Amino acid sequence: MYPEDSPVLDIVGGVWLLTARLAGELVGQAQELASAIVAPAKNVTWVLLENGDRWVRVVRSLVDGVLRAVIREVVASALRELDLTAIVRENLDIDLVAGDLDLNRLAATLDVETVVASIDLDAIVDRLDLDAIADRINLDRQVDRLDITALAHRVDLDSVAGGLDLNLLAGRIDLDPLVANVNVDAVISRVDLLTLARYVVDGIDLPAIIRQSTGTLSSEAVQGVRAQSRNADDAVAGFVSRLFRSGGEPKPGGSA
Amino acid sequence: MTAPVTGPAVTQAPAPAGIVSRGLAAVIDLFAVLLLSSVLYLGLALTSLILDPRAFSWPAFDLFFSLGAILLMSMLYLSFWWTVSGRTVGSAVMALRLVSHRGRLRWVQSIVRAFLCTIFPVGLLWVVVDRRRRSLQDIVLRTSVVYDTRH
Repeated sequence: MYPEDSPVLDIVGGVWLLTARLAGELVGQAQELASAIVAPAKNVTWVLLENGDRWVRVVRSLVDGVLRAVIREVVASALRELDLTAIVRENLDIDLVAGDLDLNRLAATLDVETVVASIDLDAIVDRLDLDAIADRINLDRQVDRLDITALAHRVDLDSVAGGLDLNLLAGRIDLDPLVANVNVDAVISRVDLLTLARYVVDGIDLPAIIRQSTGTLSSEAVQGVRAQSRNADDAVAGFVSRLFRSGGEPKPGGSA
Repeated sequence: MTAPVTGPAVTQAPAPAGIVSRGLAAVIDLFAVLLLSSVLYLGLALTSLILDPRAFSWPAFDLFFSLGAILLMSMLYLSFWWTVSGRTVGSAVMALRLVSHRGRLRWVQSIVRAFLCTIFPVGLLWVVVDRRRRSLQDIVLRTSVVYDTRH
């Protein structure tokens, strides 16, 4: 579409030729640069390849140490930030975990004998405060729950009594030392005999009895005898005065 | 005896006791003396038993000695009570009292009267015929037995 010897073509060709030359120049420069770079890199690679194992170990230990420090710091900071207990409590389904556990299999793997042998029972017993435990036991409540009557009904007292040889028992009891231990004086001293006697005497109305008996005696018998005797005295005196015809009965208590 | 002599003051004096009251009192006193004598006899016997048990025997009953002992006991008994209160046990039971013309008897008077009454008890019978109901002992010693108006 363009004429063969047009100036445009010349310009385009010139630009292209220039570009091609520049490109070739650039490639040459690049090759030189690349060779300049690659050569030492090749050297470095060779060096690395020659001492590879050592370098690997060095690098690995270096990386390992760095990683450890980093991880430690990361975990520590994470733990500081996170509440693991709350997280586990909220997210862990204990029931599900427990359901998955095969306790029987676990138990089968336990060596109970070894466990028992390792327990120091004496030490445990020494640490137990049995008195405190006993204090905490409410015996009254336990006793209330006991049906003593039913218990007594279950005891066959007849057979128990039948089995006892009371004569033998009585024969084996030595009463003398028992009696010797009894402080009779102390017992007597503790008994308020005076008060007891007063109580008994108060109960017996002795003055009333005496009044009744003596009163009856004096009023009924003696006074009767006295009166009859006095009448008899007068009768005798009257008889005698009439007998002797003295002219009058002597006056008792008359003038001298 | 004229009326002025037997005034009111005289009639208020205790009446003398008759033969029946005094006789009963004498019988009671006799029993009291016999009881006392028996007690004394038993006391002597027990004393001899305590002092020498193996040689013990009841004291021999001697009539003369026993009668003398009872008479002595009677005299002591009567003189004691007459001096102390003018009343023996028999007099107390029969509500009688022995009085002197001066009041209560003295020791000598009581002893003499007890002696006379003991050796001659029949003297009491003079009460029957005496107008003032005196026994012979009363006449001798100027005493009299009266009804005790306090009983």
